[in-house]
Amino acid sequence: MTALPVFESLSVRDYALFPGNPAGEGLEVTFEPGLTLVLGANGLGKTTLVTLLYRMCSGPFDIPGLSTGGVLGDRSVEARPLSRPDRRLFAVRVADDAATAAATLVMRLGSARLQVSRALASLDVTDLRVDNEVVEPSETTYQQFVREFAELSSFGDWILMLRHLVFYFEDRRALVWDPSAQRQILRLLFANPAVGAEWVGREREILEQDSRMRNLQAAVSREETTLARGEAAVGDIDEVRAELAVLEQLQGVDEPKLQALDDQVVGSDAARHDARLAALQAEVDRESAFRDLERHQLRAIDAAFPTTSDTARYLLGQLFTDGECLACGSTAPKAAGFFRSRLEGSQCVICGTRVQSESLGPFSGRAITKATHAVQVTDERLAATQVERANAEAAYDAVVRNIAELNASVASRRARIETLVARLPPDEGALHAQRRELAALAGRVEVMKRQLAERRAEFAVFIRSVNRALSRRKEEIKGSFEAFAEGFLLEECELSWAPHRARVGQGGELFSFPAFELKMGAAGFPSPVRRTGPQQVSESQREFIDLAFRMTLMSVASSTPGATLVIDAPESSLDAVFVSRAAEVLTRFASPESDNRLVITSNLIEGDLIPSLIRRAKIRGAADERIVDLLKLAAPTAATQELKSEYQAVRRALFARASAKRK
Amino acid sequence: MSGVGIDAATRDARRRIRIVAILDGAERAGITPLPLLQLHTIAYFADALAPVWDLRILDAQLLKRRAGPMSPVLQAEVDRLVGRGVLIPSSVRHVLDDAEWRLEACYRLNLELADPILSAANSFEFQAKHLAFVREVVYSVSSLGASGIDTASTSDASYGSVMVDTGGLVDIEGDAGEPNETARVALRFGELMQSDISLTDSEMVHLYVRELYNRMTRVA
Repeated sequence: MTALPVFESLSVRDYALFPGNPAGEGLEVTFEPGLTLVLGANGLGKTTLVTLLYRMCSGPFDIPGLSTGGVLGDRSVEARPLSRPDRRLFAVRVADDAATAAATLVMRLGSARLQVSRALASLDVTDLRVDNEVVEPSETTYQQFVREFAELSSFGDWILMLRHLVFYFEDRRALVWDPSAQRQILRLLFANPAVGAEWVGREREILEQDSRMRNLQAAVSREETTLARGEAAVGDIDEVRAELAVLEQLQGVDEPKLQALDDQVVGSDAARHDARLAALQAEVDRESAFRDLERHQLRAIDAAFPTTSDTARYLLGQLFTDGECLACGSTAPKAAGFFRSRLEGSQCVICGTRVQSESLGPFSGRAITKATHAVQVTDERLAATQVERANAEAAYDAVVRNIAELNASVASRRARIETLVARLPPDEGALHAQRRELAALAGRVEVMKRQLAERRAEFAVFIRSVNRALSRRKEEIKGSFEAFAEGFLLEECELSWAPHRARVGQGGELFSFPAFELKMGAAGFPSPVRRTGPQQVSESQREFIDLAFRMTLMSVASSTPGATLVIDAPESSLDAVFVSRAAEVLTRFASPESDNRLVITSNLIEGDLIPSLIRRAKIRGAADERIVDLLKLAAPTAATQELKSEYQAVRRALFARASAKRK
Repeated sequence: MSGVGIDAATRDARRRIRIVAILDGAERAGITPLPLLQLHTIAYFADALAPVWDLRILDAQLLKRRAGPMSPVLQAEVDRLVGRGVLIPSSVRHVLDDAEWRLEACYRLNLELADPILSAANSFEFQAKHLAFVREVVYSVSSLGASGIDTASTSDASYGSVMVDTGGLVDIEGDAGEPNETARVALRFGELMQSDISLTDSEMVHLYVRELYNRMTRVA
């Protein structure tokens, strides 16, 4: 379990972008439990303020490449120092280079209170306190306390937590659709620091050894080519040398091809898995639709049939529903029509005897039409998914077959090359030495491959046990997600535990890493459908699904009460009806009892979300200390100076809307 | 082993023989008429444990359902066997289970029509082995009792794996020539025995199901 940061206060001094109140005393924000609203206008520094908060936590460190969007992938999650230009991001925004600018953040981490002050020009720690006790003001000390109090195995994990859970940056990739990031986040949230460290350590060892082995393998290949050329160049080009040259050339073509196919097999395996799942789901949906229609048909049969013969009902049910004669397997629409007319005429289907019966409405009612249509739709989907499954199976088999064939031909060619090399004259001293070196190198590659295979096997056992432990939390996570998601969305929306298969390094076996997948209801589908990418949902759904997932993980994972979520108001993607639903879920997350802090930044805009949040948070006016009004506290822009009265009018209108709603 | 690449008619015929074999075993074990879900559960175990006897798996992939294994393609063959008079259904009704409609029925063999099928199958060595294997599976699973059979899959190494959520794909094909988890656990019993004692394939199946029983009682 992990402790999430609970921001308590932020103060910024001598920074020209945030001169603060008229006395110029800087910016002071107290984060009370619940909502803190940062209101601004274009250019007033909302993003800068959020970045400042982030950099107060991360210091001059980050995970390289994390801010460029896209999936986390195999990227190293080790925190690295920022480059000098990146450290000066606040300095370059102001004329005085932020020479004396400083900021202090107070946050609670577990049971400890951490107070960190930084020079904004360099991000260096200038003062550090733990539970009000002054400690050595260094980055090393700060990182050590953060790791200890947050119960994390590395400072890189702290950065991951900030970027994937606490801060909602625009360049983010939604966690729910990034299984590689989920693997890291679930690890750092739910594995204890020792297990987390072992996990990362084992992965790093495999990656390093994989990389070393591949470099050496490439060196061996290069040496082989050089040697083959050298041997071909010595003396007369006899048949052996000519063959050697041809074989080496072929190896040079096939080895990269083999590597490409190895990469391709991962994608093919995933596609096959998806296609299998879709086809099986379609089978189950079709079965359900079919049985529903059959049920309607049987109600009519029950009403007219004089006996209680299960076999007869079974046969007729299938005949009416599917048109299939179960006795001989033929399609028999005429027989179905004949028996149906007998039933509709209140006659026994077998002998035609007139029988007493109730109404036979179900045969012609709306329900039966609907059920028939459902069967047709599921039939079509089943046929389509079966074709896709067959294609995916064939594609996977083709890749695996190609790998096997290519492996066999590369191996037999290698054996032939060795035989040919052995037949070359022994007096070519330099080449002999080269051959010996090459053999030694190739031997080392083989040893490394064996070691790598052993490490991978050990890791497979380790990760299986970790997965078992993490999966115990899955029901709790799924339940919490549904509670948040149903507030945001009307569609049936659920998480499914779906471990993600991925390699560590470029080769070797696929490991199953912990991950969740999203399922959502959709028109025309009887059950929720897997949504494996952000493009499979609408923009507004995307935003709220991501939020619900973050809130879920924070709620379930935190070892102590309280968490902080910093987001930009998701106003633009909301229609008027959903504003109050979104406000309700956000307010629930930020209820004072939860001790959570919700920091929302927003421009002064027309929408109803902010008024709705203000009202629910019982904020009485712009003077409330939970409002950070950048129109007053930030350095004005040309627009806010020139159009000051218009901005003030918009602000008044916003609070008026909040009050009107309250009344 | 999974039967991929075999034509659909052959696969369906194999499923029908599997169904007749299960109900024959159930008849001998005294657990007929066999409820539909129990029939599907036993069919699942027959597939999952098939590698222990070096037999083929008929349906290597299935959807994990809360109520336990249920294969629509197997059910289609059950329906056909009813139509041919080989199976006699009883207590037929439709139930809404986990937002899905399914048939609820109990089945037993119409021995008059089933006996010739079983005799014919027994005359072929491979099919005779298949029948014997299915019988062993039914015998061992029947020892769990009706409620035990209903929940056995949740404790199974493959179907009950914590790595597969409800609605996920249960794949018992096995990786890279390795048997699936269920068969692997069963085979492990053989490996764990002292070198002078060797378990028969039947004993491994029975030991696996006994282990299932232990797990179920531990969970309970």
